[in-house]
Amino acid sequence: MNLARALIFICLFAVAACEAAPVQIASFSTITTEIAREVGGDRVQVAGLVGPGVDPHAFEPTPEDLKVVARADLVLTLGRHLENYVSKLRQSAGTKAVLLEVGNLLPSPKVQDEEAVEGGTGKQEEDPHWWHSIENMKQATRVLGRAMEGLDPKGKAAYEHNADLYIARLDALESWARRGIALLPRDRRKLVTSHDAFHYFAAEYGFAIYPIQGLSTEDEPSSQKVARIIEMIKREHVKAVFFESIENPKVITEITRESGAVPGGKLYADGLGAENGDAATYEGMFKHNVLTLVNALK
Amino acid sequence: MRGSPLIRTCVVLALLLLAALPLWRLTRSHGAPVATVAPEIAANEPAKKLSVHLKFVHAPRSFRLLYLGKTLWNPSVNGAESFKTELGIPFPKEGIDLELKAQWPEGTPETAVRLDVQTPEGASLHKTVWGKGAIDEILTFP
Repeated sequence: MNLARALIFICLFAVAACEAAPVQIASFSTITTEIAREVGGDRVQVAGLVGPGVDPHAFEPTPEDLKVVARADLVLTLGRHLENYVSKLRQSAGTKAVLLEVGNLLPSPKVQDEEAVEGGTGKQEEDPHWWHSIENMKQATRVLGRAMEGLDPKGKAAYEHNADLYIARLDALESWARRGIALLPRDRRKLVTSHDAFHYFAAEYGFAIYPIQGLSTEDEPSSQKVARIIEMIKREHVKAVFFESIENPKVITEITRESGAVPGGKLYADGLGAENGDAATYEGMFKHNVLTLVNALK
Repeated sequence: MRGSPLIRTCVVLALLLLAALPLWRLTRSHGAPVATVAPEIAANEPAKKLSVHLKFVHAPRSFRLLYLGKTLWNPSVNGAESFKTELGIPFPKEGIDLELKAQWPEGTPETAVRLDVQTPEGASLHKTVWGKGAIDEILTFP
């Protein structure tokens, strides 16, 4: 009798433990980390393996990161070829985890590289920085919600509820951004920036982009390209040029000196800012970028 | 007629001064003109104006049309549903963003408002917005 009681107790404890075990998520971007935490709430445990201020173009996972991936139920990357280590993650995750390259499930505009613009033989590329579209963020929220439901069907209602709350905040952010950017005449919406990361933002808010680097922070601008940008800034009377949170702004300094434009400030292109800073959350990062652009260009 | 050269010079100077007075009155500055819109906008005001026509399905309690954060049009409504005006703002090839703020009386169902714009080049553009109670929308043309 005592043995039977003990067995029942052990079974009940095991069931309760299984139910309480949170979904393990390994995330390789501050953006997907935030969405996963917002949607998953206390039903998930998220390991953010790429921290604030880390350049995702240059990031390489450590063996410890791959151990986290091996234990995970869900692995999140930005996708669109931004991470060149996805095959390593796939190997480490094996058949246990679901690997979700979030950007691959979202619409992406084609970007003509500079050679093509100059009439050469350049090819079209995809901008992987999909989170600069709030609409994409909303879609990504639903995608992650469905992925969590697949792993934890009992949490369906909680995931949907959390996703609804987060999307309502994104709607408010979008409305705020439209009103803020409306203060800037459309003929002044010319974005000269160090890293070609704002095609989604530009498409939604009517900016023309003049990138100094390419789609990756590891691209280096040629001296001819820098000279062309200086000429364009003078011709179009662009008031400010922008640099980013991650890289060395040396080239920007040279361009501002030669063109007469002023440094407009730092834009967050590749992820969220440091904890406790104004760009520590997605809403904070987006507001920082909008305010920096509008204040410098108007 | 053959008076002193000094007196003749004085007479000529006096005549020149008399002639200068009306000339000065005509050409003197009258101070800065009164700005009917925000100074920044007035400085860029084009010769041709932007025709604007707002059509509400239900009469609003009030509405305002803003450009670059400044109110350009805030007429008294008096139960009307259709309003026309001309705005002295530039219309660059990149387009413009107009902000429409409107409020409807309590009990008005979900309703729509259509904003028709005719550019100085003669292009007709329009946007329709739906709302209930109040709206604050950015409308981009084209």
